[in-house]
Amino acid sequence: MAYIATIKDEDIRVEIEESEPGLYRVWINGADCKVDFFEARENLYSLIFDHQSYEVDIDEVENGSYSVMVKGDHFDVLVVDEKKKKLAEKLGAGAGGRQEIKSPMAGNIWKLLKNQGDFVKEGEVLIILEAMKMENEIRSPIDGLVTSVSAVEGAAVSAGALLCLIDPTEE
Amino acid sequence: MFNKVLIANRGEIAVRVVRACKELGIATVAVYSEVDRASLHVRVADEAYCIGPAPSSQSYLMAEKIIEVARKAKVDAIHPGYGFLSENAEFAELCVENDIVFIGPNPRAIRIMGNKTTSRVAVAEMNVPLVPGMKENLLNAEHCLEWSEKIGYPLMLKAAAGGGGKGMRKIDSPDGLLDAFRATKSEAIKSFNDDAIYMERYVDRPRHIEIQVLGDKHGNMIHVGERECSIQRRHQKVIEEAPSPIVDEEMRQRMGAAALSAARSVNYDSAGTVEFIVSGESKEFFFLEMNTRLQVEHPITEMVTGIDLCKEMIRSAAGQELTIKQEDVQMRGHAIECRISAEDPDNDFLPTPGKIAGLRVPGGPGIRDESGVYEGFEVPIHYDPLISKLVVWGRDRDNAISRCRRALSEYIVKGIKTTIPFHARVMLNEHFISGDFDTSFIDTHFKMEDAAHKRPDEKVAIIGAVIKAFRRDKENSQRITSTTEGGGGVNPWKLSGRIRSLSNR
Repeated sequence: MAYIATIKDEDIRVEIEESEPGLYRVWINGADCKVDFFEARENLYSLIFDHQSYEVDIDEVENGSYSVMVKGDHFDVLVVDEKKKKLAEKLGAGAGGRQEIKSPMAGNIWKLLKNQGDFVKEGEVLIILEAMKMENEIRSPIDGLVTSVSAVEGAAVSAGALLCLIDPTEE
Repeated sequence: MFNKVLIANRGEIAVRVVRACKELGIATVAVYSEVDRASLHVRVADEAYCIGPAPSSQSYLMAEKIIEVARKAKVDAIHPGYGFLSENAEFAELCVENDIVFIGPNPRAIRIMGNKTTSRVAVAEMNVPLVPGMKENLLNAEHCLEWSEKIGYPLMLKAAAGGGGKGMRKIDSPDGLLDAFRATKSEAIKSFNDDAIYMERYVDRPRHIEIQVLGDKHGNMIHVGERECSIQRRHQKVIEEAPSPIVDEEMRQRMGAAALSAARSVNYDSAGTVEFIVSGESKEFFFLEMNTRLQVEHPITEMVTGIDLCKEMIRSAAGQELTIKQEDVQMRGHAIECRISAEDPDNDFLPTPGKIAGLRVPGGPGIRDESGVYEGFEVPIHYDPLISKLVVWGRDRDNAISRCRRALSEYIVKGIKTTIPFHARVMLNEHFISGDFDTSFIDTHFKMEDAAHKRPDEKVAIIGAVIKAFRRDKENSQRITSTTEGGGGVNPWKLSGRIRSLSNR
C-alpha cells in the first residue's frame, strides 16, 4: 500500500506492508526499513528499526493529519492514501481559489481592518487577533475581494473558526 | 513568622510561593479569576477565593479586591509573585495601610527603581556605572540634536517609563534621528502613558547579565552571584544560565559590589535583581534597571548557591535577619533554565492556548520542573503563555547543556504546541555551546542555522505516522467487512455494487 506523507510542504512517497502483526516493511526515500511497531499506550508508540529504539507520540489531530513528537522535537505530518490523493488532485484541478480565512488559534478579535467589499493585496493585514497578551496579525494569502466577514470585533473565537472569505480577483 | 500568606498571582510562580510557604509552615491563600478555577495554584493552596472575571484588569490587578480578600481570610502578608501588582508602589502602600505585610521591598524603593530616570539618578549618586547618556529627559528636537553630538552614534532613544524591551530604538546615523525622536515619543505615550524619553550610548555586542541581591530590614544585604540572560526573543528572556560564561570571580565581585551599591541607594530590604548591560567586547558593565521582585529566573541561582530565595524573601519580610553571610555564598556547578511557553516555534511563536492532552515531565539527576499546569488543564487565552520552567543543574556548563538536552528530549506536552523543540535546537547551536553570543543571538546566530538544520528524526516521524494511518485504514476496512458479515440490514451485494460504482468514478 502506498501513501503520500507531506511534511513542511514536501511530499514523500512511502510504501508499506505488514509482514506479521506489529512488524512492517516500509520503503521510504529508496530505503527499505523493517519496523517493529508497539503501542505502549494510547497514542504512545515504541518503534524499533535497525536496532534503534524510539519512543514516539502520534496523535491524529484531524483525518489524516498527525501531530508527532520524537525526542522532544515536534512534526506535523499529513498522510494520504496515494490513490485518494491522485483522485482529489484530479477533482481539485481548475476549481476556484476562494480562500477561507480561519483563526489559527483561540483568542479575541481585537480589530477588523477589512470589511466586506474591500479589495486586499496578498500579505495585507485583515484582522488582528489577541491571545495571551500578544497581538497576532492575520494576513491575506492572495490578492482578492473580501466577500464575507463572520468575525466580530471584541468577540472570542476558537481555533479553526471561519473569520472571512476572500475571492481571488483583481481590482 | 507569618501564620498565613495570600499569593496575589497565578500559574507557576503562585505554585512556587505556595511551596515555599508550606516548607516554612505557613498557611496559603490563593486568588483566582473566573477562568482559573481549574488552575494548579488553586489546587495546591489551603484556601482559595475567586476575585473576578478573566481579564487581569478586573481580577489579578484589582488591588482593592485583593486587600478585601486578604482581610477576610485574615492573612499576615501578601506575596505578589512577579508581574501583576509586584512592582506597584501604591499596592505596597495599600498593604501597609491595612496592616498587611507586603512581601517585597519598601514602597519608596519600588517607586524609585520603577522609573528609568529616577533610578539612574539614585544609583549614579552611589557611583554605579551607567551607560553614558542623559540623566534628564529630552525636551525637544534641538535638545535631541545637541545630545546626539555629545554621545555619538550608534545611540539609543528610550522611554523613561519603559520596560520589557518596549519603547526603545537604536539610531545609526543623524539621518533618522528626528523622525525616531518623534516616533519613540508617540510610542512611549501609547504604551506607558508618559512621553518622557532620553538618550544613551549603544553598547556593542550587548549581553544582559544580572546580579541577585538579598536584603533584610536590619540593614544586611548580600549578593548571590549573577545570571546570564542574553538569550532573548523580542527583548523577552527565554533561556537563562548561572554563572555567566564570560564572568570570572574578579568581575563577579565587582558587579556584586556595584549591585549592592545600587540596592543601598534605595535602602533595599528584600530579594531583588540589579540588571546590567555588559559589552561582550570590553566586558564593561553598566546599570540598566533594578527589578524589585522575585524574578522568573530565580531558580537557577537557587540551584548553584543552594539558597532558597523565595523562603529568604518571606523570612526577611517577617522581620527576620538573613541567615546567610556574604562570605558563605558560593556558586557550585552550572544551572540552565528554559522557559517553556504555549507558543509554536515553527510558526513564528504564535500563541497556542488549549487543552494539555498529555504531559510527561522529565526526571532523573539534576532536573527541576517549575510547572503551573497539569495533564487535562486548559491553558487560557488571557494570560502570559509561560506554562513551565525547566531548570537543570550540572557539574559544569558542558554537563548542564547535555543534561538539558536530555531532559528536553523526555519532556512531552501533547494537545498544544510548546517551545520545547526551540530549546532543544538552541542546546545544539554551536554559538550557544561556545558561550559566544549576545542579546541578538536569536535573530543573528540562531535563525540561519536553524533554517538549515536537518531534523534527524524526521524520517522516524514519517514512518510512525504512516504506520498509524495504515493500521487505521486496515481496521476500518475490517470493520466494514465485519458489519456486512453480521448482516445488520445491509445487503452485502448492494454494498459491493456501491463500492464498485465509486471506484469507477
